[in-house]
Amino acid sequence: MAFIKSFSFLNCSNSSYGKNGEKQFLSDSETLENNFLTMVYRKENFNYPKFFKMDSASKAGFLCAELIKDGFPEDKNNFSVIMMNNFSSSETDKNFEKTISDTENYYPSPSIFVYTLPNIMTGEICIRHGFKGESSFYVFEKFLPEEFVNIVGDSLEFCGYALAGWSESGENSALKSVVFLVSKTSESEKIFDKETVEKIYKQC
Amino acid sequence: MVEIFSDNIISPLGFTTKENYDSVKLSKSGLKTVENLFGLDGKFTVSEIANEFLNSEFENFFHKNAAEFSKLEKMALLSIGKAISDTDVTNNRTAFYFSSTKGELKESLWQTAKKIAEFFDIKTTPVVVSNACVSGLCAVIAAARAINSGRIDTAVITGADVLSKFTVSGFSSLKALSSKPCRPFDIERNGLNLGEASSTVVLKKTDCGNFVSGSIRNDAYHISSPSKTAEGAVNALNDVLKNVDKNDIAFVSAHGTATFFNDEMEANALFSVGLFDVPVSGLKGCYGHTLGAAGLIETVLSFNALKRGEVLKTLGYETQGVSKKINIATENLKTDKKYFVKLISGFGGVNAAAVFKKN
Repeated sequence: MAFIKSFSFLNCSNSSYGKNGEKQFLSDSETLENNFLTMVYRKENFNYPKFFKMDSASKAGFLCAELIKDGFPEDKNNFSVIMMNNFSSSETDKNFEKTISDTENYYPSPSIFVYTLPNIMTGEICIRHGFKGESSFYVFEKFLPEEFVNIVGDSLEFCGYALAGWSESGENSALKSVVFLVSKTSESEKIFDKETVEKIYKQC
Repeated sequence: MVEIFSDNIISPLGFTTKENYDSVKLSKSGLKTVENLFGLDGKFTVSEIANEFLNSEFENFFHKNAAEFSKLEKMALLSIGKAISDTDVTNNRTAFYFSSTKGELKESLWQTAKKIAEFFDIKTTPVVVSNACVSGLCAVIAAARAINSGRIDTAVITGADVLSKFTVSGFSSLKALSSKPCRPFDIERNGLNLGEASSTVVLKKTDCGNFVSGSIRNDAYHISSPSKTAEGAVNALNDVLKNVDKNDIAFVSAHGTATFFNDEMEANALFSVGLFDVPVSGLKGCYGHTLGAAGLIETVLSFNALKRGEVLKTLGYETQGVSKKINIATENLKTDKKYFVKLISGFGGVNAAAVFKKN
């Protein structure tokens, strides 16, 4: 059994973000994804200049982790980061394709290419916080609470803590990220099961 | 416990595990130096599957029109079809794991995985593992955990990636490609070659397993460079070597991409955990770097080598070019030891290690 110590979320469709049931709405109605992410960064006074080099998928993962970093344990060696989404790195893939599609104007960008893997988001979070447990990325059609709880639960057998979440930025959907800080030890009364996870996901 | 029940490799070196094994043992390579690849300037050395051979093999095997499937689909379907031909995997306790970095690009990885699972009537939700170059081994580890937890009895794990203008341009922009056949761990190594392949491992629940353990560990250092101290690889190796006597290890199957930094880091990791005498086998000289398929191909060939009591040599290696002295296999060797270690690393700072044994 595992427990949800805290959770955070970003929801671009209504410009809201928050943690542990608290929800804030950005007054500016600008909902462009990149802009929304930068607004959350500024509003929270985060200070990590590398943020501005990241693609929007990594920015979203970074922000969700940052929002609940107060709850992170001292032991970073047994802390895993397990993320999932529905469209892998498709947005950045399209940006990279623009740089190689025209033979007359061919300028493949290494700084874009390195973000054309979905698990770079997990790498960015591990670098930021020094997490040296497992890092894994999975792709599913949609957020599936049962698969999510099973996969994260398997990983917790090896590392006692995990930051685990769903962070989608689909072809037709706005960005929505929900990230849980999960622990093997009972540091909270919220059990990490599919019902609780599904309920929280829907509220965010 | 979990065992490798059956396997397959689809590559320029053959369409069965045996064809591939026999070719690798004879030091054959799928790598060819070509010009005008995807209309790009310069020479590239790649390992490419010839469409005409793939199409005729596909049509003979499935009696379906090859034109109705993409190259990646044909590679993956053929690999699974051959791996499961003697097994019953279409029950509701079988799961399909798909390992790929780029998949089809025109559609999401889950869409490709769903089509493949439906083709074989696998009813559970496909699990797509996309963890950079480590994906294939991560999929094996994730599937073994699911079997050990009792949720499923059988896992069909397939890795596939195709050559594309996308990956060739990207790795080229990172200056990671060698225009000549790659030289893993060699003093003259100057980059990797890209390859295309698919490979399948069928894992089953069993009383006497041959998958011993697996570990995935992040460096927390850099998104595209391996750690200077090899910390993630060392941690992953230490996790899986806990209950294994190093004297019983036949060989290490390394990632050995032939980039300067990867090979240096791996040698550092193997040296740090005391595996400096154990023969190191690297197979990128035969296949290039096949991305999502790499961890699976190397696991399949290494497992078959272990069963035969053999160690496959590292093609392309002549003179040690890494700063920590390790024992790179320069010839095929005989062994009677019972374990091999698979080690692999990738972008995003991720490393994985696993131990397999023969019974």
